[in-house]
Amino acid sequence: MRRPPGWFILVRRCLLVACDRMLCLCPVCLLAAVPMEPSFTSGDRTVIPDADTDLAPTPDGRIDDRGVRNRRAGDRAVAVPSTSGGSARRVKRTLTTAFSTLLAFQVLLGIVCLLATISVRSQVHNVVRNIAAERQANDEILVDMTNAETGVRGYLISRNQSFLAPYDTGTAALPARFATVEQHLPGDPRLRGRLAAERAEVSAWYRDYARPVIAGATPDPADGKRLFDAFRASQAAVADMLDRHREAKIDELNRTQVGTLALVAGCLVIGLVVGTRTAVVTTRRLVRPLTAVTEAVRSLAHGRLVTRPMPAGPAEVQEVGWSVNVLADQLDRVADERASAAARLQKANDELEAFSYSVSHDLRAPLRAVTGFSHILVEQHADEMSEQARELLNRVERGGQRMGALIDDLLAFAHVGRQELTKTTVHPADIARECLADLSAEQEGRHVETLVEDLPACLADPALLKLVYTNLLSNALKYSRGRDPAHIRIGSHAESGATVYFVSDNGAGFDSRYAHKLFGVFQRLHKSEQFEGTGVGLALAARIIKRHGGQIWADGKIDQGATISFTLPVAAPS
Amino acid sequence: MSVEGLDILLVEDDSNDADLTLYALRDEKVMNSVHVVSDGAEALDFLYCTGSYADRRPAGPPKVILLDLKLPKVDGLEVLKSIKDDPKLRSVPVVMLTSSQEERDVLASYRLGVNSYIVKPVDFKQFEDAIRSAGMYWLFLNRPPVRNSVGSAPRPTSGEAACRAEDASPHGGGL
Ligand SMILES: Nc1ncnc2c1ncn2[C@@H]1O[C@H](COP(=O)(O)OP(=O)(O)OP(=O)(O)O)[C@@H](O)[C@H]1O
Ligand SMILES: [Mg+2]
Repeated sequence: MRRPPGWFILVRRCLLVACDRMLCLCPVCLLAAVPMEPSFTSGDRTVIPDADTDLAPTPDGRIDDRGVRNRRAGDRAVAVPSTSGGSARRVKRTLTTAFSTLLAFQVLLGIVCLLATISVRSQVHNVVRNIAAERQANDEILVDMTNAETGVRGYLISRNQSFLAPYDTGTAALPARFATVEQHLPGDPRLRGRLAAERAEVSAWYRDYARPVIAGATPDPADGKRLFDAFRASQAAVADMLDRHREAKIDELNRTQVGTLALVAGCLVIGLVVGTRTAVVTTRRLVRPLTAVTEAVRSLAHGRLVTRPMPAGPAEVQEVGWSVNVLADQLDRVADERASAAARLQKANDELEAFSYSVSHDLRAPLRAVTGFSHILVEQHADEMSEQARELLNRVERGGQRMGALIDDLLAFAHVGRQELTKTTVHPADIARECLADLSAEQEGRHVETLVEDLPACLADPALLKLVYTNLLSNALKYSRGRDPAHIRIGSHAESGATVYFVSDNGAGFDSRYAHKLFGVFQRLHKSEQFEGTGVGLALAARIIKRHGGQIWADGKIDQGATISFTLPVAAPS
Repeated sequence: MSVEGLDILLVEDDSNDADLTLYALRDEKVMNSVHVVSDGAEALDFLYCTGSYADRRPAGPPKVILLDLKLPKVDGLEVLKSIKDDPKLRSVPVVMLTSSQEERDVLASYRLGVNSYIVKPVDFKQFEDAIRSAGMYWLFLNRPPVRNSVGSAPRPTSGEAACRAEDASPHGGGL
């Protein structure tokens, strides 16, 4: 029997072991290859941001705040990273798909190879086992024949029937032995020929030697020996052939295995090389430029407007980089413009302040001279003047007084626009009562019935809200001057979720067609001979309410009183 | 009531306002003892008897100083500061007169220890009332304790005594 060379067995064993390991490891390797994607992190930080977690938190605030601020111009940059996060996620998905496919392919390949190997091995194993059975049956033919020959030789010497017992046993067993050998005989014609030859030799021995001896003849023992040797030779030939056949089968098995192993190993190596290469290339070509852009956008979002990413990587990513640069330029410009606009505004504001300061200071001094000296003239030199001259001088004085009032009111109006609001929870009913007390002079000698209802608290600047009520109540008192009794009601009602505060009176009222005009500066619907005033009061009230984020409106009818209503943000319950 | 020496120092650059102030004080028999200076530097010269006032006699301080806030050369607040920083002058009541309603001026004046603050109204009647009450208040009610024991009324502190002429317009006040 020919043994394969030692090196072949060694190599075969190594390959077998390696193959088994690899077949088990192959899914593991590929599983490890997919999480390789996070290893694009290139050491320091996660490169592919999860758009939901990485970009949502801002350095400075809550999400709600951000939602509001996002709508403002300054924070527009924040919107950019989410786009780039989206594209990163697409890249992630693509990579995941690619790697999963590769993994599935390799697993499939592994399974197919495993199954193929198993089936080939079991086939060959069967063949080898059958050959072994035949080999054994062939050997037993030799044993049986030896028994038969022993029996014949004993009978020939003793002519005693009892010596034929081994002969009978052997002869009886022979057909079954041949059947066994023939049963699984591989379809090799040469082997069949050899077996036929063996059978022929057996028959020849029986025909030409054993049976004649048993029949009583005494043939030449040399003939018997010759015939038996011929049988023995052909039996050995069959045995040898079977051995060789077995050997060939084992070789075939080994060859198949080596081929399979080489295939699997090759595929694995190729898979690993391709996977690693893809990972490296992806990292270098796609993820790294994307990271750079993401970093730049983040830096821009944090207000470092000088940041400009260096466009790199594939065309799409470069395009993102260029777009970010354009965006950053624009942001920069907008920020510059805003800064200079703010500076201009600040300057204008400062100038306005200086202007109103000097108006309040310098315009009043000459006016005081006009009113003062005309007053002194009338007082000190009345008897030197005609009645008409006195009247004219009185007019001069009144004109000066009126101009003084206008200046004061205008200044107050301008001031309300500039003043900082300090909002607190205030109780309008208390404020209204205070105002009524302050305006008691206007109520003297009149019959005025005031009704201050319970009013819900609100969030407002107390001093400014007092100014609102002072103006509304002074109007209500002024324009109800002719009534007896005058009714003034300070109340509130709920309207579509908001609280409406109102001041109503039963005074002179106004033509409702001009209701919207009341809130303009110097807009008056009554003559100053009838009702004095500058026409700034309601404009001032409207300005205050609007600065609080509320609304104000007027309802009225001529001679049927007026109602001024306004809304204010409701105080948070505390 | 006879008043020795100088009663009132009026520091006012606007001659109209100075005349109107003097007119407002006309009935109070102090006309002869009101001295008018027209800028802050002159006021300081007067108070410290320096410059053109080097030989002013009697050299004592006035009983009341009516000080305009906006003055050429040395501004009213600076004059006020040097008065209130000087231990000899500190007890002299200073009434700030101004056309300005600016809150920062009011605050600055009170911080520097002004005794009273009057926003000069355009209306002469109100102006007259404000000047007269302030001048008379500090001149007669708030006499130094050494001088006389007749007016034993408690000395009002500067805060309470602030007889600031409030504007009559309902929406003018305080802004
Ligand atoms: N309660 C009211 N009844 C009738 N008319 C009113 C009432 N309140 C305001 N008006 C009308 O609206 C106009 C504007 O009011 P506003 O308070 O702004 O000015 P004014 O009262 O005339 O002057 P002032 O600036 O001194 O308040 C008034 O001239 C008057 O015609
Ligand atoms: Mg009014």
